[in-house]
Amino acid sequence: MTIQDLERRVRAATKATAEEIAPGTIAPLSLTSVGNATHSQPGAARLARSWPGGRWLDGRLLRPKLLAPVAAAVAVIAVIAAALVITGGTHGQRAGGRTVGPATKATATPSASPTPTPAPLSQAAAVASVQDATSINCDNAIIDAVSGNPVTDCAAIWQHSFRQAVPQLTVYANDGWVVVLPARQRPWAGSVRLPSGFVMNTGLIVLNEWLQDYVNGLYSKCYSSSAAVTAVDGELASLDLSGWNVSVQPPAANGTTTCANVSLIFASQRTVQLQAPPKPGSGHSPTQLQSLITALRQIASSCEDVPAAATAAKTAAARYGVNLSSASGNMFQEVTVPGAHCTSVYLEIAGGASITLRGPAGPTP
Amino acid sequence: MSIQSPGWPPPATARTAAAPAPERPDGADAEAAVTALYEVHALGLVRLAHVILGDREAAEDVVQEAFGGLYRRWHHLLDTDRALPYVRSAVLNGCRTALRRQRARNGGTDVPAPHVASAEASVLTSEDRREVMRALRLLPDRQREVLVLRFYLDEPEAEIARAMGISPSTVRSTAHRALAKLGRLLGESS
Repeated sequence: MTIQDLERRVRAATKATAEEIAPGTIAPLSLTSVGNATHSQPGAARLARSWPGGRWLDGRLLRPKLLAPVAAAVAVIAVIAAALVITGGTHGQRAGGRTVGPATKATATPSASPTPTPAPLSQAAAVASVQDATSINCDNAIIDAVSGNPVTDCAAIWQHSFRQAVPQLTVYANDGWVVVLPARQRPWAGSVRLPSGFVMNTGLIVLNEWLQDYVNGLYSKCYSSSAAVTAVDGELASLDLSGWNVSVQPPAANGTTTCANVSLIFASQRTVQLQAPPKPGSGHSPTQLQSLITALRQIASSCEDVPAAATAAKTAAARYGVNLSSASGNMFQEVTVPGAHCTSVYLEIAGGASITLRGPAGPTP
Repeated sequence: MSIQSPGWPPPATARTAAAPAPERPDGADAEAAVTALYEVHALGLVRLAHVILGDREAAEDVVQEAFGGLYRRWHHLLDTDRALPYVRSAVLNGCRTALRRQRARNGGTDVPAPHVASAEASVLTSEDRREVMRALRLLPDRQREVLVLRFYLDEPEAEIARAMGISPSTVRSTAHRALAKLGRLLGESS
């Protein structure tokens, strides 16, 4: 079954399921139990009478609603517990020579909260279940992991997005997710608190970044499928991710594709899957940022330390119209990598631009 | 990483105390506005929630609750043109809450909601549909939401990202991971 077949089946099934609900059969809006001191209560009966599906009145409006005054507003800010990236498996190898240090931009040093205290065995299983995740659920904000320390990454996002003091944060595993919540917040059902020293698989984090990178990563140029596979193999080797496979979907695209379009990491299967674009040339092509990409490529090739590269990259971003302020939706991240000789520069473009620098904290001999 | 987060504190730019509040309609106007919005969009939103939850009653409750929340917050909306995106996000959040309640009732296990067989249940295409919906409901909440928004509503990545409060790149990766998992689930069931 191809991806296209699957998409067609999902589209057909969801639309058919939705159409089980016929027009004119929805209960009228009931605002009678909505608490709001500044509003007069509008009178559901009048609203109900004005609604064409009046036959629902008896059956539905008399039934207790989930609407609860005031407290229901809190439900709008619902939290979730959902697996996204990787479920189970401890197959990923640690990145040997490229251990990523804490994000230097995060000035907060959130510490752990006292609750809850899971049993050691379940904690070990929880660690294993999220070890190879490359995303973090910072409460409801889902971000790509950067530093390997989920608390550090979420604190950085908090500061960047809200310019507020970062509260104490606690990290949990929940259904395959790495979840970071304010320590004062009650953990979601099924959460297992992770040990304070929990570090994500930094090799996979960097791989994930490289797969979306326009500077020197997979999106930096158009490859044939076979060349893309070779490039990914090379990156896997440089990250010490041994025993991994690279596949191209659909298989027929091998050798005919001009640009790798989408890449997926299946950590439990140790597989990177490259998906060909629907037609040649339909891959990513951020022409409006080409000048910035070229500048960042030069910075990467100049083998600077992170502070020097950061200065140059920020200058280039300003020159080419990329606003890095917190209100812009763009991100600038610096990660120090002990033992690294040069700074690698990554540019992801997804809505906003995200520039990440990884390299030595200072000049290297 | 660019994110939008409904769960974290609002951005500092959302509203300042010193800023003059724009003129707001009174309660009756709010009621009329919310009701008008409901009349136009309730069917679509209930259908959306139904696809996610597999439970019509719960779907209607979620939508009622979302519009109730909109009514309560009407005077706090900076831009009432954003009411529909707001209520859609509220429906998605409400679906997550409802799913958590379902799980709690099921003792913490992720039991897919029973699907009521339709009249054409014996038809092969309906069987396929039920199989797909069953597999869809076994996906994690976020993966299911992304697929529903993308393939049922045909929403673009940016709009899905806005509705779910995640980055577009996460939408993309989530969708593909969801499809991969869905493919495995359907493979196992066939």
